[in-house]
Amino acid sequence: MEKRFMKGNEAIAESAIRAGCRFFAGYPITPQNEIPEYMSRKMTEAGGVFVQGESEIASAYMVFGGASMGTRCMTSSSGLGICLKTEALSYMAGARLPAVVVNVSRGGPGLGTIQPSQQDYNLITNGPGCGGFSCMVYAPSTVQESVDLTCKAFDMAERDRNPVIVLTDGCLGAMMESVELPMPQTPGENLEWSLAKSDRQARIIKSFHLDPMDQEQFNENMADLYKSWDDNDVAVELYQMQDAEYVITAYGICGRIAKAAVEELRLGGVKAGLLRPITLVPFPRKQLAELNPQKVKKVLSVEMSIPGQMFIDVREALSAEIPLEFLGRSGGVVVEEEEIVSAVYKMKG
Amino acid sequence: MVRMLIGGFGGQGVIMLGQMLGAAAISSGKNATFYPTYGPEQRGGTANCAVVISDKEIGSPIVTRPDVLICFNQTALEKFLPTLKPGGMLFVNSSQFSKEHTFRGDFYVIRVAADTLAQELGNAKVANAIMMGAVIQKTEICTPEHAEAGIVEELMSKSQLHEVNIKALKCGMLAVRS
Repeated sequence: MEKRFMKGNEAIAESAIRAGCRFFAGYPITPQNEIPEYMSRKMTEAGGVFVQGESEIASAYMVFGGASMGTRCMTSSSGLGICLKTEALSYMAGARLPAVVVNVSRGGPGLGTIQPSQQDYNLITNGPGCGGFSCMVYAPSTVQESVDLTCKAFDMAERDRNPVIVLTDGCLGAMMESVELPMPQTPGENLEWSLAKSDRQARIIKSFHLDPMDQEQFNENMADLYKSWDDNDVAVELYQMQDAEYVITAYGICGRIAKAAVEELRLGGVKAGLLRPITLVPFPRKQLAELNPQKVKKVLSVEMSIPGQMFIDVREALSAEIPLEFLGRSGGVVVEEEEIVSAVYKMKG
Repeated sequence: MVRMLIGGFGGQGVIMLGQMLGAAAISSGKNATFYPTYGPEQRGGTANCAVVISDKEIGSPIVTRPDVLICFNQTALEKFLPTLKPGGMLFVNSSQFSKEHTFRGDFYVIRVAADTLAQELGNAKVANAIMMGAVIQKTEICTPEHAEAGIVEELMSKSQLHEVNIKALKCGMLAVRS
């Protein structure tokens, strides 16, 4: 394995190429610009195609086109650009096409700020587009995890023939950290939907159904797929949870900061633990529901969004007997370890 | 764990210094993060970055109360000195301050005439590598060999600059050797 000191955004771009991505289309927006910038240099060297589209909408549809040919495709943006891409995302979900979409999120709504935030949680996890579809959502909390989950996202997108979203933020994207990069992969050929090659029966890629019964059948199949994610694909980090009385839930950049807070609290004799969702879809409901009210006194949901968004999913999953509190920052302010420690001491009383 | 803040004008090599220190720490087997502050910056504006180095897993890459503060100009000094931890280390690019300027407080001051020394080496742009030499000499965060490895990694594609930067690194180490 090759070890390098890399910027989060560049690590995502490099790992996508190593995962076999050979088509990238995007449109500039801070704080994700290093992804298209890196792709513009390295994608052609890898024998692939880089396009800066005329808009977010166009570049997302270019990915639809590339995916139709069985090519591993990626696009990236920040929240307000992702909104524009949701139209094509819905068409891809409807046409059963795989793709990887990266959201390096920033403050909002509107133009908001260019600094990191987690304000896109609801947009991304509650179905990022029209028509009631879901995408699997990975939320890395280190640059290494950004690499690992980007690679995995390509495999999962292809397995499910459905777009996968990697949700990071401006802090994880801009920071540099040590990473081990994976060996380059050669993606499989002869994909069942691919329009490439002609020595076979005609294939049709579409998201339109004339017969309502066909559409209903499609939706039922997708419901089965989403159910299978809950059963098989949940990823969660449990840290110091065996005897935890005060549990922190946090994802992405907040997850790693909360982990350091748990260390600090443990040094002070507080039985703190961390439950960090790595997949936001599927959400670790089961792991949260299993928290025992006899052992866990309180849970604190830490997010870089106000009002709390993951907070609502945590509340829903958690036993009604366990009180849940919220610590949020937003607008581009990154939560500090000391704030989390103080919040736990405060809720401990 | 060592938390560092580096500040100066854009063009003084602040960002590159942070990246080189991070890469040096990684090559010595430690964990490191580098985080640039960014906003709607403009030419001649400020450039700041944070570096965290630790034997353990690193939580936040953001540094609000540094153990080590490296200031390349007056603006950075005014902005960040109040955040330096008591007993911390202040490295100043003394070429940017008058000889009479005193730095008083509960911290150690290491004066490095980085701009002057860089000019003497014939390349004003290596002031950051001179500062790096001073920092590794005083903080002992890594060996000179690992510092060289960090410089080479960050300047990978610009091999013509390796030699002068390594020379600058050694010059910086010598400048603060007591």
